[in-house]
Amino acid sequence: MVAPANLFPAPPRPGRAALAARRAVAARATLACCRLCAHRCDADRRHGPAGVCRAGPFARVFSAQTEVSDELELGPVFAIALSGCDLRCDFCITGRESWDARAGEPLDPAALAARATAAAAGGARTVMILGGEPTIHLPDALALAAALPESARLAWKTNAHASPEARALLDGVFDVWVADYKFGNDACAARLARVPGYTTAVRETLRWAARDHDLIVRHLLMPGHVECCWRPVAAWLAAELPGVKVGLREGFWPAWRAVAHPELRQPAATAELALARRIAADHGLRLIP
Amino acid sequence: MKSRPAPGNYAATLKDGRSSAEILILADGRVLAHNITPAVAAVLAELAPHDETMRLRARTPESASVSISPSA
Repeated sequence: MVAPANLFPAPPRPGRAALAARRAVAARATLACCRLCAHRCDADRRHGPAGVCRAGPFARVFSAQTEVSDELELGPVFAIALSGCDLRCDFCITGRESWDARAGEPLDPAALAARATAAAAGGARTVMILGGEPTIHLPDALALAAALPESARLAWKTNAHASPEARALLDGVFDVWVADYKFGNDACAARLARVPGYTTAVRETLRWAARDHDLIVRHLLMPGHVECCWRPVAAWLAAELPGVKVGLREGFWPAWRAVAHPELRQPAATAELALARRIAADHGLRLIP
Repeated sequence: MKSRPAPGNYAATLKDGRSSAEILILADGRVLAHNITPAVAAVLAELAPHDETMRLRARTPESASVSISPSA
């Protein structure tokens, strides 16, 4: 019989569980004056929902299942989605759960680790922690990482709007970072996701993640935002992170509150998709399927 | 596998271990999908046999027994 810890194909990472457990304790201590995301709103989250994200001290899970939606090199992925987010994207495909940190069920690290191990036996190659936005739940997300087998390849799927403090707590725990770069300018970010100073914060995270991690940068192609968002994102990636793996997501559909924005009331047109691919080619981006 | 019980009600799938996925078929024939499970990937690969990446996504043990059946 194969030991559960050997079901994952990645080489073991001795000491990762202990590191994640220590970081989980350190992360929990920050909730009294939370600066986990780049809002750095100093909310006291120890006793209930607070701050921009309106998250309390404990994470909840709204989905945990094996998926093949992610980049091919990761899949199949056992994806664990935590409720709540620090952004308020009107077009969020999981808006109800991402905007409400109270959605879903309490996070049970041992139970989820058992399910992840069972998923590995069924073919899953990666365990991904995502949201919402998992950064706002760093104490529980790290506790979950600590409970997972050290041979599991761990992916951190994030909006990249993390603070330096959060990045320090995450350093060395996850094998792969899958980071969104959603908006090519601060005006679109403020209008569609209610976030100020977006590009500076995200670029900091991307530069940091590229240094020591296997990084995949994702951009969801939004209708009407090829020139204002995708083109500057592509240009920045080409200039600042040449050779970085890029996942261009073409499957936008008008979810949640997208209808509030006329340009987001329909999927991207095929002409926009073609233009987006030309922009990627013109910048020599390394698109991965 | 069952479809999601109600919009946004993912927690129900957590409790009973079911999976959920979402598919949107556009009038121009494009198919958009979210939270693609291996079984759904197998269905989508059948719908679009020219889509090489979907064929690769469908190549998992969980997707091996999927078939498409007309309802009428």
